[in-house]
Amino acid sequence: MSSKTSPKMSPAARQFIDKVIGLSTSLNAQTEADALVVKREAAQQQLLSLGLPTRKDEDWQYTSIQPLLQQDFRLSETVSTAELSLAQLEPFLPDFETIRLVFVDGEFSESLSAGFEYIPDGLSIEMADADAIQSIALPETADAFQWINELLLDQGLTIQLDAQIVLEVPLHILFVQTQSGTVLTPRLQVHLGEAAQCQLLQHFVCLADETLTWVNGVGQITLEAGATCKQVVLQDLSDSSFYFNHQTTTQATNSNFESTYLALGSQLSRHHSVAQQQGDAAETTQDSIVPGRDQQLLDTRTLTQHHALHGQSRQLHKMVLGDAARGVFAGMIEVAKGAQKTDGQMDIKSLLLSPQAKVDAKPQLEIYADDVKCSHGCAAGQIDEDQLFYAQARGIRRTDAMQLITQAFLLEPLEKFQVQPAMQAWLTQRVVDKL
Amino acid sequence: MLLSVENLHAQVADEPEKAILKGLNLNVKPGEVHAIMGPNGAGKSTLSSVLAGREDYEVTAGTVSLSGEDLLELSAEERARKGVFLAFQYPVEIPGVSNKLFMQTAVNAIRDEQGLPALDMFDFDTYAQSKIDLLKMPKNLLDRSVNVGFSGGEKKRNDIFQMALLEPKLCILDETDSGLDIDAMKVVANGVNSLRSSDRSFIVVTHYQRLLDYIKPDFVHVLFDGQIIQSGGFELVHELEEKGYDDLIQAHQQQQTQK
Ligand SMILES: Nc1ncnc2c1ncn2[C@@H]1O[C@H](COP(=O)(O)OP(=O)(O)OP(=O)(O)O)[C@@H](O)[C@H]1O
Ligand SMILES: [Mg+2]
Repeated sequence: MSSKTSPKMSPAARQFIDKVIGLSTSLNAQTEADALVVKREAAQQQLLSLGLPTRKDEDWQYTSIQPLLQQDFRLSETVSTAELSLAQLEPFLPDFETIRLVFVDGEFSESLSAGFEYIPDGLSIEMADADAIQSIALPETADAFQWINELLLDQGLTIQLDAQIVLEVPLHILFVQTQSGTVLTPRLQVHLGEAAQCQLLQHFVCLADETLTWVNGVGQITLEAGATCKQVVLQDLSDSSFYFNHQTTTQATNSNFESTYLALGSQLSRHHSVAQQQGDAAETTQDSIVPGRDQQLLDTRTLTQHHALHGQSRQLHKMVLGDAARGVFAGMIEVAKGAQKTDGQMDIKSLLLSPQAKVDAKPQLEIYADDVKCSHGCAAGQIDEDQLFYAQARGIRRTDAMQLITQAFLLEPLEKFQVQPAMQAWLTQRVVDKL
Repeated sequence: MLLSVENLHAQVADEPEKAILKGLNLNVKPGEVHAIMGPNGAGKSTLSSVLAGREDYEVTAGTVSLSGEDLLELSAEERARKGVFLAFQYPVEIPGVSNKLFMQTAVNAIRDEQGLPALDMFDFDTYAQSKIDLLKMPKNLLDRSVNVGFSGGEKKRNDIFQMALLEPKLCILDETDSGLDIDAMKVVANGVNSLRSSDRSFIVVTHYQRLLDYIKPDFVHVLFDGQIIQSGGFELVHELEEKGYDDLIQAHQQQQTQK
């Protein structure tokens, strides 16, 4: 820790960073691969010079990380995953066929995983070793949380689908946290070859409601020409947990990335999805479903970068906030100079169910091409009294009517998500259970 | 008496200065069909809304009872469960909620009130299908969101379809005929006529004679300035059609100033 160019930090932030660095150092002591150690040390320098964000940073204006800083996190102890039975996972398992990869406290569990018979030739799933991780560099623009991911990087998951391979069965990547007070830093790398297709279901849960965990993930997804990836990120952690995730998707010509983020749990979460259209006629969907309650603060951000011709991007973000929940959204559609005929649209719609609930939404466009069609819309309001009365006048109880109306409002992104009906129904049920 | 309205005074809840209903009386026996006519702004929709339990309006005096029970004490949903139905002048769109889910929930709410078991999806489908045919509704009606993307006339027909499903005791139709083409008007009139029975009553608010020609009301009332200023039989419709409201209104206003 010699080259400390770190900015002024609060004692709490300072202490938090020191602890994280301490965890990294203890990891280094157990790591044989020098490359990984080098990487972590570089990340440490980055983190020290960046410091942790505060409300004074524009990107963190509405999101305070104080509750996170008050916690004392450690690394998970290696447990025998055999201690966990499949029956305990039952509540988290879909009722449709999947290729299931289960990670218990970050550790891959072969016995709990399933569906390997659906793995076709041309799909490789690897727990990335130091070499593989070495090849994945974080961008210079990475924020403190991405560097923390790298600082505590141990094992990554790399999924590679060869050209033309169509994976019919969704890939369910289930992270189960069983140890309270631990931090998980998943690193996911997905590469889809030309015209390859897959459905990804990234799922984060806590085994027990009392488990407090901190998931701090980084994902990198690459779509070659004509590839299609449908992604669901199902964040269903316990209500005391923390979730930070930053994913970057790079898209080549004619590729299609369709993603939905479901923020069902955590006390503080921030999901950041960056999509970069580098080839012509790419299509991107970045939707989200955010039901907030109690004191939750749920932050969703998107950055959609159009660098090529005829790109299309669609975003529909729905929040339903009750109690004293806060929803935060920031989204930016960037259209580069050459990206003519870009068609971009971003909509944020929120329902506030209580006077204490609050939403801060900031949609932005930055357009450097002249022949484009881009728009954003942002609306927040209370539930429509006319709709409630109409339902009540049919004998439907007011509470039931509110339920019907909020559910329909919130589920709109899932309604149009083109996946098998069983998957749609299962995801819908996950959301409905939260209302 | 099924419905008994006595000296009803009502105003907009957050505008206490503005009385809309000013001492309205109306008695409806089981099986009767009452038509209510009257100029724009007279208070017809307000009366309908107050009867259905809309909370935007505050009742400042008078009583309303349904089969002897104080209706004003009940919430909108309780009134609906007891058999009050309002076909809206402007039916409301509810995006994302299918007609099927909406009406299955409603039908089961009312069955619950009657102590009947809930209909499951299949039983409800069968039941709904028979009413869809009766009202010549589009086959995909149940899968569509409530009133979303419906034409004005379709919305009105959808309300009558809902009425047919719920089989209420007191049906209040607020200008259900406005915006309907001739065929749709017949369909609606058929719907109403097929629901007529010795224990079901109707209050039909309308500006036009045509619907009344089909359903032949037992009584016709003229509502003006928050009161019923004239009542009569079906022949009153023809008189109004010929002469308009002017004479009646003038007579009423003279009477008021004499008071
Ligand atoms: N929610 C409200 N807020 C303010 N004024 C209202 C409200 N509801 C009704 N009014 C007023 O009360 C009066 C009666 O309105 P109402 O809608 O009952 O008339 P109506 O007889 O149904 O007329 P129409 O034939 O045009 O449908 C009108 O002057 C109207 O502007
Ligand atoms: Mg009216």
